[in-house]
Amino acid sequence: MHMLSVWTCARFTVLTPTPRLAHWKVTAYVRKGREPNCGPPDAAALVVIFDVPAPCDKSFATSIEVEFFEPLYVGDVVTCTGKLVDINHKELKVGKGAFLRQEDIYTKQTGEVIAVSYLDIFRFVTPVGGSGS
Amino acid sequence: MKSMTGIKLSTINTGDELPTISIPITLQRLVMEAGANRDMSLIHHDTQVAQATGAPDAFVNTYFLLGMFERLMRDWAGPRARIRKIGPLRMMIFNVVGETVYFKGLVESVDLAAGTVDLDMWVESERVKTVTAKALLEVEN
Repeated sequence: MHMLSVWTCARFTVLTPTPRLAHWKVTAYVRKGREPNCGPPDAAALVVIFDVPAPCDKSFATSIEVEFFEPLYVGDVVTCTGKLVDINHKELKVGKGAFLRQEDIYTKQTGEVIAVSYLDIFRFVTPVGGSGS
Repeated sequence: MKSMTGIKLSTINTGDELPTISIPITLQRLVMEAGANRDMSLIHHDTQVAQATGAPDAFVNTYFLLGMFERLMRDWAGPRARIRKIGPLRMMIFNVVGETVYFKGLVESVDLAAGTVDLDMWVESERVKTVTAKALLEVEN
């Protein structure tokens, strides 16, 4: 178990809808005074699972669980720490790969934990000659 | 019974149904949603890439489901209810472009002492149940 990356998001100006919390950790595509982020459209750092080196070219999410402890208020600054906590190798109909589980811990400037989430994504390689279907 | 600020805990019973929400999945909706939630993964708005992963077409992402489940809960419980937990939320079958999906739920149990309600929620397409989710909601007395 090791830490893969840490994000710190911008200052909130409005109260966020509860499940929206996850998006504030994603790098903004456009920032004042900077060139827009026009990299590959799937390059957004939504999940650290994709930072894990693996010979997998395809993926889809299979489950998520989020527990919310503290509400967010105007002016709160949120930090999210993502960690890979499990890898479970599997071969499914779509191909050979692994279920990867990511734990995200969201804290606010006071150190209070706002939320903890667990996201499972199956990353895999399509069999040679197959389309994955 | 629902007041201006939302439902009251004392009026909730096990087995109560949440009002169903139906929503057509269109490519335009998925593109707009990707722009809003920053999940630009091509599987959620490009048919060919989605099909390469085994899906029949571009499909909704995890955050769309979380957002719609929040709407399902808030439409029923009101803005003062506090979502304590969503999950496990299991995505069993892709929700794809061209389908209309239905978000549904019911009250699994009520804890008057804790002031909480356990919900059992799910998504149905015209074919089958595609997603299941549990939730824990804090509701005022």
